[in-house]
Amino acid sequence: CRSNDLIRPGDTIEVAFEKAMNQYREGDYPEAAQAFETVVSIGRGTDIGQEAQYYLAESYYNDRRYLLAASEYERYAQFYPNSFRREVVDFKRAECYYFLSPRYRLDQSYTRRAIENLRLFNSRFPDSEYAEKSAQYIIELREKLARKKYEAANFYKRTSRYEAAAIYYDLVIDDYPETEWAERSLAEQMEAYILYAENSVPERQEERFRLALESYNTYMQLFPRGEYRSRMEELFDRAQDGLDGIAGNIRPSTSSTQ
Amino acid sequence: QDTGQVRIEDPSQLTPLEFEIREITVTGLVTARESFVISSSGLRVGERITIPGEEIANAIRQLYRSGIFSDVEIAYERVTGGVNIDIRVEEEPRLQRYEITGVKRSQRRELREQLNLLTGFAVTRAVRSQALNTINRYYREKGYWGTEVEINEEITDEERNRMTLTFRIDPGERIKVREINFEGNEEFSDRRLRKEFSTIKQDRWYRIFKRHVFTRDDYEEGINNVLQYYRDRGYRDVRAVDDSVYVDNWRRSKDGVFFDIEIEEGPQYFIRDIEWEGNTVYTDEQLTLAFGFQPGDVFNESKFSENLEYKQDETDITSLYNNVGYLFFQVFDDVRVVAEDSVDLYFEIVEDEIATIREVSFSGNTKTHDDVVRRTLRTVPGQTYSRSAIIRTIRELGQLGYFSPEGIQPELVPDQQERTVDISYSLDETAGSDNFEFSGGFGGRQIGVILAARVNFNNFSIQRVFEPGGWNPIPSGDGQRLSLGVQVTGRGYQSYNFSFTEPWLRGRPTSFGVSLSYDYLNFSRSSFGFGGGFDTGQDRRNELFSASVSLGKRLNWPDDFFSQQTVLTFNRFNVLGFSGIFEDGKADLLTVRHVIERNSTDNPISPRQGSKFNISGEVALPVPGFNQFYKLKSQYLHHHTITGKLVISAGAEYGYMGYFTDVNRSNFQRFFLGGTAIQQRQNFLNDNIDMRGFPGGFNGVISPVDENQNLVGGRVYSKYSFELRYPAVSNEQIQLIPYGFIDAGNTFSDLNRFDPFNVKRAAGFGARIFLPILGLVDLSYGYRLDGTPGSNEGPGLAPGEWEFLFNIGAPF
Repeated sequence: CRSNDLIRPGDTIEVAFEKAMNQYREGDYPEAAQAFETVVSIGRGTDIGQEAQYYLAESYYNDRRYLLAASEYERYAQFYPNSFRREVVDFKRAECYYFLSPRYRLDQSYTRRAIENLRLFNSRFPDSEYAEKSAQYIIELREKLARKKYEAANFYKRTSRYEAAAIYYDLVIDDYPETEWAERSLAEQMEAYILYAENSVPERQEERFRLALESYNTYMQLFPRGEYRSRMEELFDRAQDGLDGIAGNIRPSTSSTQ
Repeated sequence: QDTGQVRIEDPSQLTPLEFEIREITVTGLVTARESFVISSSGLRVGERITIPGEEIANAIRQLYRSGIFSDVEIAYERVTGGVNIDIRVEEEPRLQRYEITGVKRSQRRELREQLNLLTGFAVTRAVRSQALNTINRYYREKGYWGTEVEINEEITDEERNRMTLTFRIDPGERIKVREINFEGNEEFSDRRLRKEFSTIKQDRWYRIFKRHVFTRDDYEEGINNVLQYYRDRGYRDVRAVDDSVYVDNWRRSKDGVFFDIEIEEGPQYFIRDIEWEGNTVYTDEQLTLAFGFQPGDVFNESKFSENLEYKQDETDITSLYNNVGYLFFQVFDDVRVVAEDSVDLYFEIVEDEIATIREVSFSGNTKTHDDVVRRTLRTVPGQTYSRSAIIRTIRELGQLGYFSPEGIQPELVPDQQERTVDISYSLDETAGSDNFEFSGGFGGRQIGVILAARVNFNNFSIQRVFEPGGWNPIPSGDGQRLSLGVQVTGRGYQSYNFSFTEPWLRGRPTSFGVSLSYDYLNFSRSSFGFGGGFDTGQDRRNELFSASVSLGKRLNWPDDFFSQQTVLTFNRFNVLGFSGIFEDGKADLLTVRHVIERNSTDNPISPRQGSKFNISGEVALPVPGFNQFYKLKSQYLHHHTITGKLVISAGAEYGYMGYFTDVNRSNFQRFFLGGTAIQQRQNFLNDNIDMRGFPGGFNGVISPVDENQNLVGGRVYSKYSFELRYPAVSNEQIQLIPYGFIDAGNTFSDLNRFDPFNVKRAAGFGARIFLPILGLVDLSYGYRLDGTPGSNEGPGLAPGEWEFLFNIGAPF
């Protein structure tokens, strides 16, 4: 009968903990979490209280309630900073934020929080068995943040705000140089500058074509064997044609003075 | 054992040394375990620590944080090879539960919220006195000055050393503010100043809803209000020289609170001269004009700072600079007293350079996708900084309905070196932008009781429909609108409609919409007992199937309030029993409509300012076998704030319908005036124009009547409206906007008969109520000044009657 599994007022802390553990082992995590909550509150200051705090976090974690889990892991780390469980607790706490991180089109506060915690974990436990996984998470999350900025840049380009697009591609290149989005950004930035120049009054065209060529040069330096190389060459020709066109417009007037 | 032990008394006197911990002991334990104390202290045997240093301080902090000790002390003893640590704790009984007696349940609940006593935490002296303070403060705020609290302590769990607290509260007598007296005021009367002292009122029998209990904050705010009142009238030196608050016998042996406030007014100052320095962007004259003071004016302090720093309409000096990019602009003012009652104003302006926007970011969009937010932002990277662009952004983000308007906060991170600024907006997603309407009601005589249901998804995402995890619970985030509606009655009326709008097609500022609808109405005319047997007993049937596709675009020229839209519509009508108006059978219309609109209203539900103008042309293409017509319509509505929140709206609209040829002229879609969408739903064959005071439906419309007494509908119409509106309540849960109106309009059978001033009028009052889950509901009660002639449909409307109308949806 299930009612025997529930904690009752007369239970000693050991019995209560055992009942909670039973629910945990059976995989009934919402019930287990509630039970551990009780054990934690009556068992403050005991070893069992400490164990219960850990399993409380674990229950929430297994129940995919990551926000609650993260805060319980944090409380564990705060109360028992030297526990042998500290390593796993710190990792799982960071992992909770990793799981909470939503798709790139939404607010990325949790992503930043995850990266922060993962970095802290890696510097505190550099030899941990989780270190590699943690590093992998960081790469994945930074790719997401880079993509978010890259898509913002694309938005500006799509809506013909080329200067804004160029600024945003720059932000991707500066902030996330190691991601694939940096390379793409350079290519898109070059095109944005060319479109910017082509849609400008003649007096401003030259400087904007020159900015396009700057993006080209940066690309060739950073990614000499890059994926978008052939596209860059095409864009280079287009920018060069643009510049020649301006020069061609000016030449007749200079030759007439001679 | 005490020998050689050193108490840590003044750590700054000691040289920090490193020791290894040899042993840790704990003394003073009652119920807590030693292992718990040691592990929470963070100290470990074998570890090397610095004394005095971080580790000991941390250990004490950690132990206090556990909340079970009232005192923690750490002592150490030097032994060979290190130190022995002794942690001395004083354990207090811990709280099992607490009770409050002697007061009302509602107060008990509020006190519990404020008391912040946690089960399992030690009941220390500090905890007790904090609780006492909280209770006393709570009652003081309510006007009780003599609150007595008795704390009863009882150990209710010996084994675990748990305690139950009982607070016995006697709030005592409530004392009201009886007199507010001023002294030293010569320019303004006591009465006048009491009015300014608006936070607390003297208690008088006729003040039923006012506060008249004393609280420190209100009192101080009140005095400040009085002083500000003086300062805004040129009395720069005004002071409250003395003030006292006391409880004394008032009348009939009742106690009351008395305020005595002594004021020194000082002289009234006038402005003698205004000088500007450092300005290159604007001339002295331009700045003085914007500043709004002339020599000779009274020195008004509030106006002074407002016109310098921030004014709602952005005509102040700072806005003048900020709106053209001078983010780092600063103005230093120097007010010099030059005579008994005159001041000279000197302003030193540091214009600095123009700042450019760099990164524009936002946070808090946990449901709405980035592009939807970003497309609403008026601050674009690379552009010159502008405060008004930020203000407009905040307003437009609020209008989306996805974020709570109060929660939108901009944050500026300027980089003075680079002359750039990063802007980030923090957003707060509202609970739900979707709404569900379910209504039942009387839909007019031809329809009877009607049941209607409609769901609106205002932040839909088609893409998320096909993504894993997208249904949570509804695919959302792309700002698309999806609406499904059904209306049915038992008496032969059915209406189904579906519409979908994507405001930004494929990420570009082009809106795309699709809608489908089907309406069906079937009734027998004989049941109304009118019509003189002309076609008694004959059934009537109207059916309309309609499909349309639209494309719209926001324009940047002539200004960015303009937009245009093209709509292609196919209508298939099927009618029976309208001899004289429509031929029995099916008829088709294929129309193209183009609308150009300029909309600068600042709020869709209750605009405070702005106007809306649109002009549209519609052509029912003369395709063989289809009916034909063309139509021109235009509409103008202007909103203007008169004072405070009171807004006046005035508008006029006209329409004309013409034909290309004499054949296949469409009698569908002619103009009928009266009612609102709800009353008009049975008249779906017509082009219905809203008008209050006239009920709509078959017998309640304004329409020309032909020689056979048929309501044929107008080919020309005019309508004028006038509304005085006051948004009385506006918060996130509800908006309530009462209004008064005058509407006038008429329809004419052709252009020769058109007379713009021959109108039928109605005046009355009403209210708009907005509830997020329901949408906007409009109730109006209009008095008809003119009637309509009788027809086959009924006797017409008599003048001099009141008409109640109910509507869902916004009129603007």
